[in-house]
Formats: sequence, C-alpha cells, structure tokens
Amino acid sequence: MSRTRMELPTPKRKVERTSKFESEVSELEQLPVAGTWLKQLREIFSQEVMTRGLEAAQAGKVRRVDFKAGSISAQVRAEVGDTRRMTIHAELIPDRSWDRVVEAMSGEAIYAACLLERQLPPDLEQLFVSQGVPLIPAETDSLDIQWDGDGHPELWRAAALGWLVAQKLAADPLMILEFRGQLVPALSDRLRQQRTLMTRGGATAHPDPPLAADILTGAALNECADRFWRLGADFDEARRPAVLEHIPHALLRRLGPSTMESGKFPLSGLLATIYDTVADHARSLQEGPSEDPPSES
Amino acid sequence: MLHANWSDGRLVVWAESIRRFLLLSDSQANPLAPASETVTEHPFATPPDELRELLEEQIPAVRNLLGEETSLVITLPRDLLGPWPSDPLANLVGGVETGEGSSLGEFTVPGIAVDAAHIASFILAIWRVDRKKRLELGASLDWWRAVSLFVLDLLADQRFIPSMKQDDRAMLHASWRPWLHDEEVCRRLSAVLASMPPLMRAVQDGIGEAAWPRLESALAGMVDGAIRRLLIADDFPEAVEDRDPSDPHVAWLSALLDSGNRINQDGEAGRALFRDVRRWIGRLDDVGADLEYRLWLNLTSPPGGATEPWRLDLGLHSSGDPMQRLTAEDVWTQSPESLGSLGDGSAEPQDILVTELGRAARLYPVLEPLLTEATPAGVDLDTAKAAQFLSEFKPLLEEAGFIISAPAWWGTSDGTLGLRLSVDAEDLDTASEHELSLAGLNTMVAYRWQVAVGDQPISLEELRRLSMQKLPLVQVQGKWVEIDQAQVSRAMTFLERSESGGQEMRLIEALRMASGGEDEETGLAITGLESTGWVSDLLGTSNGSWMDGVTQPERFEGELRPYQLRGLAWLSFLDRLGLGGCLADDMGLGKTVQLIVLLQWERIRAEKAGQKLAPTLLVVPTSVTGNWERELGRFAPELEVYIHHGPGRPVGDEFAEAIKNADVVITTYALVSRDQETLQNVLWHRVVLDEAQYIKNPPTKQTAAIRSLETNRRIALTGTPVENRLTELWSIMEFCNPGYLGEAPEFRRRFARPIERHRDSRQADQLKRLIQPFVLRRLKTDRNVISDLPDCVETREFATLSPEQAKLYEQVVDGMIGRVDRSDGIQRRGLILAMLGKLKQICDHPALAESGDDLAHLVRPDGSDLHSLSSRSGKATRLMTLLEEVLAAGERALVFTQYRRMGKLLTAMIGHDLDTQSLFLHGGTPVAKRQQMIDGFQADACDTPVFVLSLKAGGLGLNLTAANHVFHFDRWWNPAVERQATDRAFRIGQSRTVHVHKFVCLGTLEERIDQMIQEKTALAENIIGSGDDWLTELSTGQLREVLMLRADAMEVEA
Repeated sequence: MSRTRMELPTPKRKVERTSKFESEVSELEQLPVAGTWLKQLREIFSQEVMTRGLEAAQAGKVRRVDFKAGSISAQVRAEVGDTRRMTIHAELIPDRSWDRVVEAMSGEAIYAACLLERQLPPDLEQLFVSQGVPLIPAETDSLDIQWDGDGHPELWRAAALGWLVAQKLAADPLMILEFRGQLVPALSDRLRQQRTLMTRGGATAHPDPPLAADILTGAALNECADRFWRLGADFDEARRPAVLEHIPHALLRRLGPSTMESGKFPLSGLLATIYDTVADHARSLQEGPSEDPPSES
Repeated sequence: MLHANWSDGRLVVWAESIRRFLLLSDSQANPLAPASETVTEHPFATPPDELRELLEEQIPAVRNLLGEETSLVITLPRDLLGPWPSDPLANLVGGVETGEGSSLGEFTVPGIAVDAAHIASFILAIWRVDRKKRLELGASLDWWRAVSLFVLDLLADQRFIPSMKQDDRAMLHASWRPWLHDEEVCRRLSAVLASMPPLMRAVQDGIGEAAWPRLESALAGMVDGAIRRLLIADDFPEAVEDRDPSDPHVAWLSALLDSGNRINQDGEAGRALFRDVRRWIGRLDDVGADLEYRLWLNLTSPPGGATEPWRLDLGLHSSGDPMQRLTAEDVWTQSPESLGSLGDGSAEPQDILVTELGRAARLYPVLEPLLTEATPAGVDLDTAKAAQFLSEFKPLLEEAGFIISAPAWWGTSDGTLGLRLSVDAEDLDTASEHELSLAGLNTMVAYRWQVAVGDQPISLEELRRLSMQKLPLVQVQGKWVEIDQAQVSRAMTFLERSESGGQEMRLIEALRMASGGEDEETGLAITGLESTGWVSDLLGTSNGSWMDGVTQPERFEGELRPYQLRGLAWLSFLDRLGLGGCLADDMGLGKTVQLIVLLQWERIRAEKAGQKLAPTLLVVPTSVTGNWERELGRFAPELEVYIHHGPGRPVGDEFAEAIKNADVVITTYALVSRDQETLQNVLWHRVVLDEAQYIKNPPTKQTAAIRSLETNRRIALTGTPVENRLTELWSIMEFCNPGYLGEAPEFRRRFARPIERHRDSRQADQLKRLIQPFVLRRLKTDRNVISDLPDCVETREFATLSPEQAKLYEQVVDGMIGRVDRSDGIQRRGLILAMLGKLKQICDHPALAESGDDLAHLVRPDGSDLHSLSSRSGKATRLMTLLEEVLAAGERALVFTQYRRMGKLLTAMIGHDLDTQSLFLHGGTPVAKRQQMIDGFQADACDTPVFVLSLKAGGLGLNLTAANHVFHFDRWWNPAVERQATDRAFRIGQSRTVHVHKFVCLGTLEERIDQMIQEKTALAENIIGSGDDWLTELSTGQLREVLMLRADAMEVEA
C-alpha cells in the first residue's frame, strides 16, 4: 500500500550519551556537507571560540547529543564549572521549497538511487542552492544558538557541539536532510511520486485501500474452471452493510479547509452541498420506487 | 441466462440462450479449433437485439438504461465442441457432460452496454422484479447486486472524495472516488473482492486477470458516473462558470462537475495542482495506523456535580493491548528510556502525542489551544461542549483512528431516558375465555406508563423540571443522563394524553408498544415492560402456566412427542384468546400431527360443553390433499373429513348440505378462489392454511379470496423461516391476525425496507418481538426438541398425479391390459414389465413417457417449459416444496431415483425453481468426478446442497453424512435396497436426526404396493426381494386391480 506523506514531519530523534571528536580537521574541511558546515561555523564564531570548542569536543566534554528536525542540542561541560545544554537551531525548509527540490532531483535518477542506498548524491548542495534553498543555512542569522541558564553565552560550548556535528555529518551526510525537515525515506517516496508525474506514467492523487495481498489478484483463470461462474467466498459478508455510524460530512471534516494557498473559490462550501445532494439521491435509490410493483401471482 | 461484465468503463450484459444451446447439443456441432488458435463467436450467446427485447419485456424499468450494442472477448472454459455452458445453464438443462480437451478459449460474446452512471439503477431494477419468465440470472448478477448496494451505501454515507489522476500522456483528469480506507468499509470491500466470480476477470480488454484492478475500475467508474450525472442534472456546473480559471479550485471543480473530466492546467501549474490535491487528500490518511500507540482522549464527568467542568485528558493508548495506557503526565515526565516499551522505538512517545494532537485538533478545534502549550495534558469543557464532544466529535475522531473513552453511562440505558410499560391482566380461566376469544386483538387491557432512567422511575413532574434546564446532559438522582429536548417534549405530550385517555388500551396496541417501537408517538424509546396474567403468558415472560391442563386426547391414534404436546398447548392457548397463530416448525417435526390433534382436542372440549362446532376449513396445495386425508384418517379417525374438489363438486346450498356433518373440509388454494362465493357463505369454526407461503403475494385474487373467508380462528402452517421473508411474513400474519402488522405499505416502510435493504438490526429485533407471540418455530437442532427426536424419522409423502400424468397413466393401462390378456408366456411377462416401467415413469414425470433420451426431448427447445416442468408432476411439485424448506433451514438433501433421465429433470427443476445448483451422480459419472462431487458435497462450504443420485450408482458405498434428508423419489419396493440408499446419510459420522421421505403417488400402483408392504400381506412377501417380477405372475384381473387408477389419484381443479 502506498501512503501519502504526513502533514507534519515526524523526524527521528537520535540521542547519543557520550561523544568525542576524533577526526582530522583538515580532512573534514575537504568533505561535502561536513566541510560546508564547518565553513558556516567559522562565519559565526571567532577563531578563538572555534579552537576552544575543538579542544572541549576532543576532551569529550560534549554529552547527549540530540538530533532533531530543526535543532541539535547537547550537554557541554566546562573544564571547571557547570554543564549547560546548548542548542543550535536552524529554520526548516518550507514545504513548497522541498517541492522544488524534489522536482529538480527527479530529473536525474542518481539522486533517487543514492537516497535509497543512504549515500550522498553528487552535487547535492549545489542542487539545493540552485533552487534557492541552501542545504546548510548560509546566512549567519539563520542559525540560532540557545542555551539553558542565565549569564554569558559562552559560545565555545556551541562551537564544541558544532565540531561534533561536523564529525557526524562526515559519517552520515544525509543527516543534514533530517535537520532541515525531511526524513530520507519520505524524501525517496516524494521523489518516486514526482518521477511518475514527470514521466508519462499514470498517477493518482489518492492512495490505494489497504487490502490483503492474497485477494488482490485471485487464482489464475486456468485453475478456476470448476468454479468459473460461481461466487467466491465471503459473499454473505459482501452483502452486509458496514456498521458505521453516519457522521454528516465526515470525510470533508477530516480533510479540513483546502491547502491550496492560491485557491480562492469556496471549495469546501460547494463540496458540502454536493455531498448532501449525492447522499440524498443515493438514499432515494436505496429506497426504490415508492410502491413496490405488484408481484405476479 | 444473463451475465454481466465490466469492461471499458461500463457494464456489458450478455446472455447464453437455452434454446440455442439445446439446438447445438442436438445437432452435435462440429468440433471447434484448438483453444489457442482463434477467437471464436460464442455459439449459443443471445443476439443483442433479442436480448434487448427480452430485457425490455421482462423488466420494463431498464428500458431507458440500456445503451448501445457491443461485444466482448471473454476467455471461457471450453472443450473441443465449444464453450461450456455456465453452471446454472447446465443445471437448467439437467446437467451437461463436458467433453474431451478441456481448456480455456477466447470467445466473442455480443451484449448491450449499460453506462457506469446507471449500473446501480439497472441492477436493482432487475432484482426488484420478483419472477422473471424466460430470464435466469447468473451468479455474476448476484455479485453486481452486492457491488451496486455497496456503491449506494458509500454514496449515501458520503464516503467519496474528489480526486485526480494523471494519465499516460501526463494529462490531468478529475474524478470522484470511493473512499475505501476506513476499517469497516475495507472489510466489506475485501469480501466483495474475494467473492468476485472468475468470469468477471476473464474479459480481454487490457485490465488483465487480476481481481483488484477490475473491481477498482468498476467502483471508480460507478461512483464517478453516478455523482457526475447527478451534478450535471442539478446544474452544479453553473457554480464555477465565469470564475477565474487560473484558480486551482476552479480548475479542479470545473473538471469534477461536468461531463469532461480533463483539467485545464498543464506543465508546472498542473504538477503543482496535483501535489496540492495529493497533500490535501493525504489528511485522510490515518498516519498513526502503523504505530503501536494511538492518541487517547478520555472524557470524565465532573466528580462534584454539574457546577464543575468536565475534563478531557490526553494520553497514549496501546493499539494492541487495551490495558496499556499512558497519561500525558507519564509522557511528559518520564524519560524516553523508561517508556521504552513503546512500539519499536522508532517513534518517541512525546512525538506521537504532539503529532497526533495536531491531527486531532484539525478535526476538533477545541484542542487547538493545547498546541501552544509546552506539555499539553488536557482541557476543561463545559456541559454543552461535553455533550457536543460525545454526540458529534467522538464518532468523527474514532473514525480518524483516535481512541476515545467516554463515561461508562454514555450510550447505555442507564444514561438515557426511557418509558416503561406495565400491562395487567387476570389469569386465564374458563369464565373469561369466551369473552376474550370473541374480542381477540381488540380485548381491552389495563396499562400504565412510567418514565425511567435505567430501572429507576422518575415522575412526570421531574421530567418537566429536567426539560426546563434546556441542557443536553443533566443529572437525575445523581446520574448523568442524555436528554433530547424534542423527545422529552413529545414524551410529555404522549403521557399527558395517555393519562387523560383512561387506563385501558386494546391488546393490539399494547403488543405493538411492548415490541419497543413507536418512538415517534411516545417520544422516548420503550426500555422496559412488565406484564401479568395471560398477557404475560402471551409475551412469553411467564413461567408457562398456559401449558397446564393440556394433555394428549385419548382418541388420538398415536403418541405425541413432548414438544408436539407443547405445540398443541400453544395453539389451544391462542385459540382461547381468540388469536391466530403461525406454526412454523422445521420440516419433519410434525406440524400436521399437531394441527390434527388440535382439531380433535377442540371438538372433544366442545362435546363436553354440549356444543357443536362448525367445520374447520383446511386449505392445502393440490399435491397434498391426499396426504392430509390419510393423516387425518390415521390419527383422528373419528373426525368427519370432506374433500371439496373435482369437477362435480357441490356449490351453494348443495355444498352447505354436503358439509353439514363434517368436522374438517379440505380444499385447495386454487378452489378457494374459484369457489369463493360458496366458501365465504359458511361461518367456519377455523380456517387453516397448510404451506401458508402460498399466500405470499398479497395482491393476488387467491390471497384476497382466502382473507374473505368468515371465521374467528386462523392458523397458518409453514416450514419456511418466515421471519426472514418479510413479504411472506406480512401476508401470513395478515391472515392470522388481520391488521396486526399494519397496512402493507406501512409495513414495507417500517420493516421490510430497513431490514431487507439496510439490514437494520434494530427494526429486525423490533419485528421479532412483535411477531414472537404469534409464531412458534422449533428447529430440529433446538435442545428441547433434539432429545425428543429419534435418530431416523421416516415419512411417506403422498402426492396426486397431475391431469397430464393421470391421462397418460390411464392410456397406458387401458392400452396394454388388453394386450397382456391376449398374450402369454414370455411375451406376457415382457409386456407386463414394460407397462410397469412405463407407469412408474409416468408417476415420476410425464416427460419420461416421451421417447428420446436427449435434452431436447426433456426440455422443450425454446426453454419456455422450464417454468412449468415441476408443475407437470405431483411428486415433483411436492419435492420442490420440501426441498425449499430444507434449503431455507441451511440443510442438505439426497434425492434418489431409479431413472437417469428423471435425475436430469430433477437437476433442471432444482436449478430453476429453487435457484440452486445440484449435483447429479449416475452410472456414467467418471470415478474421478464422482469423488470430486462427494468431497464437494461433504465440505463445510458447499454451494450444491442437493445431491441427486441414481439408485444403482449411488445406493452403495458412498459416505454422504452432510445430508440429513433423504428423498426416495420413486420406489424400488425392496426395503433393503432403499435402506442401503438411506444409509448414505444415516451412518457413522451422522450427528443429526435423518429424515427419510418416501414418495408415493396416490391411487396408483405405487400406493397399492406401498400398502401391501405396510400391511405385510402375503403378497408383500413375494414383493420384497423380487423386484417387479412378482407382478408378472398375477392374473389379468389382479393386475388390473393393482394398476387401475383410483379417482382420488388425480388433482382435479376444473
């Protein structure tokens, strides 16, 4: 069964209890995604802050890194003193921007192939940039640093967290997609649907019902000669109306208002009238003629 | 034989022609080419012009629904001679042997198209015509009926959505789609899919063999077609005329409302529209379906009473374990690790709660403010909002997959106002009987009403006070109760009117009220009933004191089983109250005996009281008049029986004189109509209908004539479960207790339509309660009955000859007896045996006397006589009636005959009259096929519940214990042979009582020989074990005596 994407993304939250920075900085700087991430950090933090942060990360002062859509947080301990929870926030990429990205990615099969293998597609960052949405926030103010407690921000703690994130991005660069609001499987699914749209294959806007696989096809016809003309199993059940409480406009209410921003015509209002008209007509058909015709004797 | 297939966005109806098939069988057509080579014209398909004419003539309502003539290429099972006939067609012509080279082959069948928008109307119109002469329906029509009802239910319940699809050329098309995802709907969809006959998948049109794509295409086409047609007819397209075409709503709607479904948005705009629609429809998706925990909303009533708020708490509820629940507090305060048992760990509890809360808030906006809180836990509601949540949003949220807990009283009788009725009566005694028996349903009974919450009564004053609060939920005696102000207002009016109208009502009204109906009149539902005296007996709520004092009359020549004595007590109890009843015991439980003993009992009672009763009129099917006469003579020989039939039967005063001393007058349904004037001039003590389902058609002259008979006592006997056949039920109850179920149109509106079309269980329960006092139906499987029954019950089924049979019988006897007399030796013996065989065949069916052995001689080439095939034989008519009861009870039967041709005819009759496929095993059945038949019949899921067997081929060695009825259609005269055949069902493995029915044609050699065997005469000694040879030793005089047709053998109506 295929499913449409959820309205609200539910990215996985990954929490690691202890982490230590053990990578070669020069190697990281050469890598896609991780290198760009470090470059952005250097735009935000001074050299001094970055160095102190690196030392703290290498000393294992960063604990319980929590990776979520739009934020990364961790507890960072000072050499002497308290532990503070630091969080780096980034804006989620808007859904319409994702639509553009997906459309661009669907033009080349390599993107889908890599995503399915959870590998980094080539030129991924350039593709995002070409659609006007940098994969790694380019503007300084698009990354926001927060910390618990009062007082001086102590930015070195945020830098320490940043170093550790760079190390993680080196190991799994696609984590950046989740940081920006899109799970890799969901992105693959959108890509598949978009590809169908772009190619000349048929596609529907609605999902298929969740039917058991064993009844979808039926036995091969050449195995059915002895029951070719007969009804199959479950016919009594097929005639039994579903025991559903009638809720007026149930589906319309579950759909809610149209999500089409540029749609001005009052869609829901007209649909409500249509639903009532159709239901009335169907009920009159169910009732049949007002008087049953006399039976023949 | 009508079939229907979905292809190319429409339904194509086509038919197999019985006439063409029989002609083809006769002509031994040339073998067709091997299967794989070519597509061949179907050789016995009905030409479309003929089919159109037939459909329009038989079902005038479809005239405007039939479209153009067309054709389909269908893959069908075939052999070298051509396509096999469909199973029901093969049954109708008495079975067809398939030849060599079985395989699948492609055939072109001509048909008529029915537009997708009209399919439901077309199919329902076909099924609304009761009996279609010249038109039989294949199983595909059954299936299409189920599909049509499914589609109408989806539309009536608003389970459809606007959608769109992209075609192979990247063009967008709008469509209305059925929404099939919700659990209950999906279950029914699965059943529709699983029951699809393979024929549905055999069309060669590009959809392929798989079941789902074809059903999906059909459902989508029917839903889209029906909605679009309606919207166009109602001028909906005008709503978007002159609107901005670049507005995506307008672009989409324009293609949804009109006949063209193409969306005028291409390129990027089109893709954006598609994405938007997909995203919007995605909101219907139950994204939490795969999670092990669902959002749980728990409403609790205020502990401190109405002044405090209600509380709606959030939490998580395990999908698999109803006991595993987490409050919001658990979710927010405990660490993810401590909640680690949640699901597979892929989704955190806090995430589930927040995400699902967002989804729920879209449906129930009261939850929206919670989304602004850091750790949402619940919300307070006032009483009005709590009532709205329970009545309006609870079902909506549940449908979307959320778990909702309501206070325990919600939806129960403890949480609703109801009315309780008390009806009081005295115990039944001789003094009150006479008065009661005259008034019947119009007897006045004392009653009183009381408003109650559950079992707790409340005063009218308190009800008034509650109604003034104008709240949907109020507290009564510390309990919360749902109140519908309109209902309360109606109830108060009803109660005030009842009080002013005195404290008595007619019995008919009390019984209707007691059944729990009439909400419209009473305002509130009737939730309880108390009764005393004979009313309590009638409603079955007493300890059964009505049984007291009823014993088997001494004059009864037999012994009643305990349940039969209870039957007598019940019939006599109704009789004493002046009420009619329907004895609907399962076949084989002895309805005839119970009625006979009642007739005897009431006459003995009258004698003791010094009264002379008028005769009882017993109306029976023609084929069982002799049966009744014999059974009355056997069990109650003192009763004077008068048979009213025959060409010289008296009418008017002559009739009155003839029945002057009669206790029982037996006549037939047909004669009640013909001799209506004579029969309605008699005030009958009682009128009894045997096989009362004969009056199932209310508008017929025959039914009207029966209702016109003058009597105060009426009894109907039937073996079919009348509660499932509502037209029959109304008709029978209208006979037993006129007016009780209301007028026919009212009954259709209140009960028949809701129950038959919508399976309304509430109405079905109410109807059951309504008829319960007047219908007694015991099943053979009832615990109280089964202990009374022996393992094997043998019954003789006496049948009369049809006029056609009688004429042939006499011709054979008259023509051959002289030849026998003039011959001797081997020639004489040969003549006698030939004559004997011929007479036995005539007793079975007149068609057997005709020469020839092929199908065309058994069934006329135009197939028209299929409708009269069973009525040409008295035995066959009787067999069909009995088999109908067997099938209605969900049981299985074996039918033995000596003649293979009779077996074919029986198969054809069962197929046509009972719409049931049967198996036929005879000497020519290949061994492999034989075992396949036996296995199929013995299987739990068996769709061939009648097994016809030739006595020689099926009388030995087979295990057929799935049957508990054995019919010996003709007699071998050797009890040992018949017993061996009976033992196919009555053997180890049989857990039920086996009913053996031996058919005997009255007044013929069959009856005389049967009598000899019964009386164990010396002659019988010769009969047993010697087949028919002994007859050849008789003198011509003796032979004439045995063979001669007696006057009562024939059914004579004219």
